[in-house]
Amino acid sequence: MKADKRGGGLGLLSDSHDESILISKAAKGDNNAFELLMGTHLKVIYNYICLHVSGEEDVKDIVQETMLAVWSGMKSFSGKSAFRTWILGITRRKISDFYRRKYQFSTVSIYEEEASLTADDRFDDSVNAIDVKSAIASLSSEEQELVFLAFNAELTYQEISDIIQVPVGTVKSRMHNIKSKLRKHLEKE
Amino acid sequence: MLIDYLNDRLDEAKRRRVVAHLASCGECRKEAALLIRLKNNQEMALKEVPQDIKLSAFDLVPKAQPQEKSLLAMLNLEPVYDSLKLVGVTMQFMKKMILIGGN
Repeated sequence: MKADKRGGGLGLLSDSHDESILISKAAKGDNNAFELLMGTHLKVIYNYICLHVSGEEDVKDIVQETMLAVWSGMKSFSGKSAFRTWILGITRRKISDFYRRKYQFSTVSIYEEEASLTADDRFDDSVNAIDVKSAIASLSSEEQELVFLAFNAELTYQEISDIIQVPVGTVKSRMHNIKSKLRKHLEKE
Repeated sequence: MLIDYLNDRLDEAKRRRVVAHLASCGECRKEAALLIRLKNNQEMALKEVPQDIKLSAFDLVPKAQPQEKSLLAMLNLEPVYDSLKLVGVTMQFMKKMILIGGN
């Protein structure tokens, strides 16, 4: 079973061993272990949803639906991917479900919907590095999602490719373009 | 690879290779500097989870079922069992006292 070994600023479990134990307990139906396990990933799940959805109540609903879906699927988690990759894949599907429900029978993508949001709607915190922030805000929604998955979720290119379902080579070339864009933007500052 | 290095996702051998490469490649050091700025920015941009979302996140998750009731509990015989247990303990105590008295 492949568990996450990340720590960082996300309040994650101290090591992969702890996470593996919680995963195994949660898969056997232990609610406390499940809540402890998912509590450590809640911040990244929440921010990932906020990247695509703006309404507070909608975000809350999607968080709950994601937790239910993860709980229901715990027994089927094979450990082939890292746990975080797996849960972010589920989160992404729940975001898509939300938009499908909202625009029943419509094929509007999550990106079209959120095109109307401004970057400030999504990140209204006090960030000191204004230049970097504005550089990132200049990226498209798809590009911002890649930046989030790479830097906040701390996923590898392969894991990102599993989640957004594009070949890993495409992820690499998109990241390359993103870096070039950001570099240019920052050099202008 | 540089992102994986910054995210601490590399094994020790790969990590050493990246470090050795960074020591000799100015271009990659510049790229690493850019990525570090981005990463720091992204970490600062993460919003804290509001309290109401923390409290309600698991509302849809079914709570674990209480353990299966014993036969005694199902037949509502637990009080009877407790009384019998008490009588048993008392009898044993009295037997001990009698044996002690007999010696």
